[in-house]
Amino acid sequence: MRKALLAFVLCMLLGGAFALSSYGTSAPVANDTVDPSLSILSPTGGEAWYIGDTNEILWAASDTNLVNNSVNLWYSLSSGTDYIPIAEMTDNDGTQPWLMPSTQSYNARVKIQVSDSFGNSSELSSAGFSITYVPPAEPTGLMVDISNNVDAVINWQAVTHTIPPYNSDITPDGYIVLYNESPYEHDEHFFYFLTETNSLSYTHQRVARFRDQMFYRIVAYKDYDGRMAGVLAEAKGDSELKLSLAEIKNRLHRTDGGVK
Amino acid sequence: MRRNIVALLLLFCSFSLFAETILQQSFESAATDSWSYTANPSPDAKRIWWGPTTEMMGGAIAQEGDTYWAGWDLDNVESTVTFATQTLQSGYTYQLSFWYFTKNLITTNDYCRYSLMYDTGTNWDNWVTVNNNSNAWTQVTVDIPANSNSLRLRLSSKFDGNTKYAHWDYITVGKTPNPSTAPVVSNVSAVQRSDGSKLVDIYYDVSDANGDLCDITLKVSDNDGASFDIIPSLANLSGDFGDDLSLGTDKHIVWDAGAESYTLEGDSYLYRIYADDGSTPPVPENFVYVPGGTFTMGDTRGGGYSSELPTHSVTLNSFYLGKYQVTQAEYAAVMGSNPASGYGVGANYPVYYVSWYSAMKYCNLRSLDEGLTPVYSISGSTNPTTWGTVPTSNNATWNAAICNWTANGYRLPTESEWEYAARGATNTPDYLYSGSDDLNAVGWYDGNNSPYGSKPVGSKAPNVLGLYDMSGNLYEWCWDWWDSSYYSSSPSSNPTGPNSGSVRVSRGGYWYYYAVFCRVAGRSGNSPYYSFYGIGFRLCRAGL
Repeated sequence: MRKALLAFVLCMLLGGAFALSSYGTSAPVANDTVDPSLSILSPTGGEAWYIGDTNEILWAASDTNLVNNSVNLWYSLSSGTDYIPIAEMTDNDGTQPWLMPSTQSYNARVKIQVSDSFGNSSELSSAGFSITYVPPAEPTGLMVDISNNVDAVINWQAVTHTIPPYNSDITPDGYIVLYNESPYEHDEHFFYFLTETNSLSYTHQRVARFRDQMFYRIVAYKDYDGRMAGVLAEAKGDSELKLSLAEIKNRLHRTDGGVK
Repeated sequence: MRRNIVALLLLFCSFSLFAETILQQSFESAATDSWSYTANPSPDAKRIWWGPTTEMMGGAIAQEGDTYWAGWDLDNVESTVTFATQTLQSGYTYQLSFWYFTKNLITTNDYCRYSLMYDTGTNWDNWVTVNNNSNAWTQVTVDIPANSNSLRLRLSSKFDGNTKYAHWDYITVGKTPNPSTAPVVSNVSAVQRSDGSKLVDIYYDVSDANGDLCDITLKVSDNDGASFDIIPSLANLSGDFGDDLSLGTDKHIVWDAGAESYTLEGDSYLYRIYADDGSTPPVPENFVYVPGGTFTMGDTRGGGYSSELPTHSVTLNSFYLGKYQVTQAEYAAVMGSNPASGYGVGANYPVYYVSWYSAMKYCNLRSLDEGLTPVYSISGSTNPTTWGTVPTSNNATWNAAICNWTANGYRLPTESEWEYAARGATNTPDYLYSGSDDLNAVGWYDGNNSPYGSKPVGSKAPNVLGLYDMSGNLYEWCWDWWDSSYYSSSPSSNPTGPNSGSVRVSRGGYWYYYAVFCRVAGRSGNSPYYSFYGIGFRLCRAGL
């Protein structure tokens, strides 16, 4: 007892010299500083999607605290300059049907954002793809008659449907006749512009007399928004203008201000 | 009985030594009469007497000094003495006392009373009426309620008749420091914001009976509190943390967890707020503070030896450990000569050719030199001058040395203290060597030590605690006896090794050994009388 009392007194005397510290601890707390993982499975870039179709946007997102109805989707027709909502706060089921907008774009993009319950979010944009009207099917029955040894009379069958498998009724606005002395087959190979016509026949005058061989390509077109008229006007103004199918598409694209 | 009286006297002294009179008024017009007051009505001659006096009135003379405040026949007018409002500091216990003398206040309307208020207002309430006929000086003592911020006092008397008196004298306010107590941290809560900012709001209350300012730090556990190894970067904290913070509730820290180099993902993080009242003694020079804690000891990474198994949990108190191995200069300064030769010689080189016995002697001599309490005792003596010559062969007397673990002097670390410190007081990250998995970055060993020999201390990178050369350079003596199977029976709390043995533990590998011996988990041992060029030592001190 006496020792305890003495010890207490000493403690009182010396108490101020000791380091005194303590701590308090919280209850268990949930933390998440990890952004959700996200990948876009479709579109991935380069797709040719057509107005009027419904395509599936596909993605994969995961996170420990991912919440339902946390996915936002947008599209852009201007390579990401502006985005328009497709769906907001939708379920993270990895798929979203998307009815193609009625405006053409050769550099459309899809952007997806997904969030978890802590507000951590990931946002990803696809590479560019195209949204266009369904084009006319390829002209068939192309025949070239040089029986008079002077002219080449070119005939083809009227195009009445869009490209397979759409096969919907269509009346092309016209046909473009292209020619080249080389038998090029790819879309990237150029031809010379010969004419644009509404008929199903064209006579390339005197070509049989002066040329050993000549190859023709007939392009059916439907000018939905008037931009094809611009391309044709440029072609008609330059008799040396070389055109390929790819180039025609590209010029339509460039007219829209986009990037190849 | 006499001892009891002495003890009680000491107890009394322990309080009175710290008591301090901060306010006084004994109406002597002395400098010590510092508590100003206002009398209403002012002292005048309308009554027989109202004001200070040195004369005897009603049989009373001053209780303290020569003068007191006298009231004699006040014509039934309430007469008051009001003292200036005093601001009180936290961390102290305050007491007010005064003396009064009353005589013949026996009519119903007569009174002598006082009011104590603990605010800065102007109204007076809670009147306490004193004995109306004390006929002697009587002391009133009032303990000021804890946590009061202000103090006001009004003395009041009212009576009529030339046989009636009410006097006052020696009004004082004393303060006594509250006993040192640890601050209390409570109501710690944390929540991460849900706006994607990755900010975590941490709230807590902190109080301290002494009113001391506190140093506030934060740690986080991701293993249900087994350890608190996540230490937020100061650059990512804002709000109520740091040194010398005021006490209070709803303290708020904001942690930008998203700015850390690591991520958080889980639902059971624990946030711990540490409060230190600032009285932490300074860390001794060239020592680091190793905070107590729990860690997993042994071969946690694999690739070790059977003596390092099983891995087991060890909890240690805080301690101090030398940043460096004891240098040849330090050793020579205490022991009188430098035993090192041939394998790196210089003031800043670690000392070698020292036996465990020599290290023990050095510890006590240095403790005595610096006025510390020596730790080791041999045959009941802590003074090495009584121990005789340091043995060069096995010596039962020296082997029976006793360690006073609470003494504040220098000693060798225990084996568990050594490993805990080498690991940086954590298993996260679970480095193979002290401070790194790259031994070349932190230690001298056979892979980088050409020409062979010890190297100046501190010439490789330290571990997270600031300890150098825990891996490599020289083996370091520890207190424990060696037992290859000790880990199977080791106590979990502050183990000090087997009770006996023939070999003392050494740790950390040395400049001539392979990397495997320099692991933080690596164990070795040597006879305590043995000295060679590969063993030195490092000093330890108990946490204060």
